[in-house]
Amino acid sequence: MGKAIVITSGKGGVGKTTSTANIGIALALMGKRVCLIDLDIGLRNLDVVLGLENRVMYDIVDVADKRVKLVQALVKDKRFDDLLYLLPAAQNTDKNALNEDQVKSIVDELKPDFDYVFIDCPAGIEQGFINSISGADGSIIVTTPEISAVRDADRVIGLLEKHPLVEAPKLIINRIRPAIIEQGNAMDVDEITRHLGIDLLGIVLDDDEVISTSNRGKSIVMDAENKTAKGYRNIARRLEGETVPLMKIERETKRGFWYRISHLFGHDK
Amino acid sequence: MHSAVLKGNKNGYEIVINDKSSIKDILHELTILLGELSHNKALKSAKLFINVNSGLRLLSTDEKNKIRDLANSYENLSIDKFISKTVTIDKAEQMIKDNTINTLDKVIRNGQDVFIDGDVLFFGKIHNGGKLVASGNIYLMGNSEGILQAGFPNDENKLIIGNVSTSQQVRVGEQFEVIADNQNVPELSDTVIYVNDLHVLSYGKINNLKQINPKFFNKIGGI
Repeated sequence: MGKAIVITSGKGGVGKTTSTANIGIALALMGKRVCLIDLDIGLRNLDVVLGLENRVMYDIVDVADKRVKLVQALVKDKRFDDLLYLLPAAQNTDKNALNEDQVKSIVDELKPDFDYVFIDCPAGIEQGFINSISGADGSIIVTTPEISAVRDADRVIGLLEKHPLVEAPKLIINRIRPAIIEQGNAMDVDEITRHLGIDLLGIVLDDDEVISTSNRGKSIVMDAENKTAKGYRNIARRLEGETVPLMKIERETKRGFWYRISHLFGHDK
Repeated sequence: MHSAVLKGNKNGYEIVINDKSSIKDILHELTILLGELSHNKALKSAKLFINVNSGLRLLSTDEKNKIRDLANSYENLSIDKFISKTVTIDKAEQMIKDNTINTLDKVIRNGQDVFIDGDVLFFGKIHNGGKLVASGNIYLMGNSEGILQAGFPNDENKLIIGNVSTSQQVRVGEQFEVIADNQNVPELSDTVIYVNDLHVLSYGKINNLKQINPKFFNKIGGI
C-alpha cells in the first residue's frame, strides 16, 4: 500500500509542479512505482513539464465522472520502465468540477498499485486545495525565500492543522539563491524553518537549467551532476527514510585569472 | 411564619421573602405590608428605598416587575434592588470565566484568529497575519508578530502586558495602533498597553500599574 502526498504552497509560482515532477522522477530512478496526479484543473502543467503533453488521452474529470476507467486515463512515462505514471488534469473545465469524495476515491484506488502517489495542488486555498488534501496521507509545503511565499506557506500550514492529515507537513525551500542570502537580503534556511515551525524535508537551489530543461519537457533531476538535481534526489532519499545531511549552500566563487589560464591549458586537475 | 418581613439593617430597609412561600402568598402579604408602610406617619416625609432579599429563591423578571409595580403604586416607596443567595448556572459560569486566566501555548499562524473569553496568559507565538483576541486582558510571554486585541469588543479598561514591539498592531477595546507607525514602542516585556483618559492608546510600565488602572491593581492584590 503506497502513500499519498500532496504538494502545496498557497502561493503560485513557487515550484509546486516542478517539485512534483522532479521528486516523482527521483523516486522512479530509485526503482519506486510513482503516480503523479495533476489537480490544477483548467491550468494543467504537469504533463508539459514531464514532456507527456502529446500523450494525454483522458483526464481526471473523465475518471471522476466515470466516463473512463482509471487505468485508461493514466499516462505512462516511457523513460522509466513502468515506474512513473501521470493522471492529467482536465483542461476544459475548472477546479469546481471535482469534489473531495471523488478525489479521495481516485487516490484510494491508486494507492495499492503504487509506492507513492503525489498530488500536485493548484495555487490558492479554495476548492482545488480542499480536493488536493482530501485523499492525502502527508503533505509537502513548498516555499521560496521570499517573504510573500513564506506568509502563504504559514497560512496553508494553519489550514492543514485545522484538517490534519496522518503525517505532519514537511517543508521544501525552493529556489534558493546563495548570493542574496549571503548578502542578508533574504531569509535564510534556518530562519524560514524556525519561523514556520515544521520539519525541513530539503532545500533546492535555483538554477537556470530548471527552466530550460522543463521547456524541453525534460527534468533537471536527470542530470546527476547538477546541484538542483541533487537537492531533489536528497529529498527523494529522505522520503524513503534515509538520513541525508543537508546540502551546503555555497556561492560559486569566481575563479581567479591564473586559475582560468591554467584551466585553459588543462592543468586544473 | 410570614411570607414577607420588613427588616432594617445597616444598608437600610430590606424586605426578606420566605423562599418556601408561594408567589401568590408573597404578593398578598407584600400588598398588605407595603400598604401599611406607605401609610406609616413616621416614614411619610421622605421616599423610602427598599431592597428585596429573596433568600434561596431566584425571582423571575416577571415576578420582579410585579413587586416593583406594587411598590411604585405608592408614591413614597421604591424598590432599590433585588438580592438573593443564589445565582443561575449561566451567571456562575460567567463569574468563573471573568476570574480565570486562560493559559495558551500555541502557534497562531497567518489567517488564524484565536478568540479567548476572559484573560489570557500567552506563551506561544503569533505569526504575521495571526490574531489573538481576548475579551479580557492579554499577558504576553511569547513572541508576537501579529495582531493583539484585548477587551474585545469595546472594553477600554483592559490591558495588554508584554513586549509588543514586534507585533503588527495592538488594539484595546476600540482603540488601535499600527506598531510600525510609532517609533517609541518600548521593546521591554514589562510594558503595559492601556487606553488613557483621553481615549488614546498609551504605553506604561508594570511599576506604574497603580496609576494606570487602580481597579485592576486592587483586584490583583496591590495596595
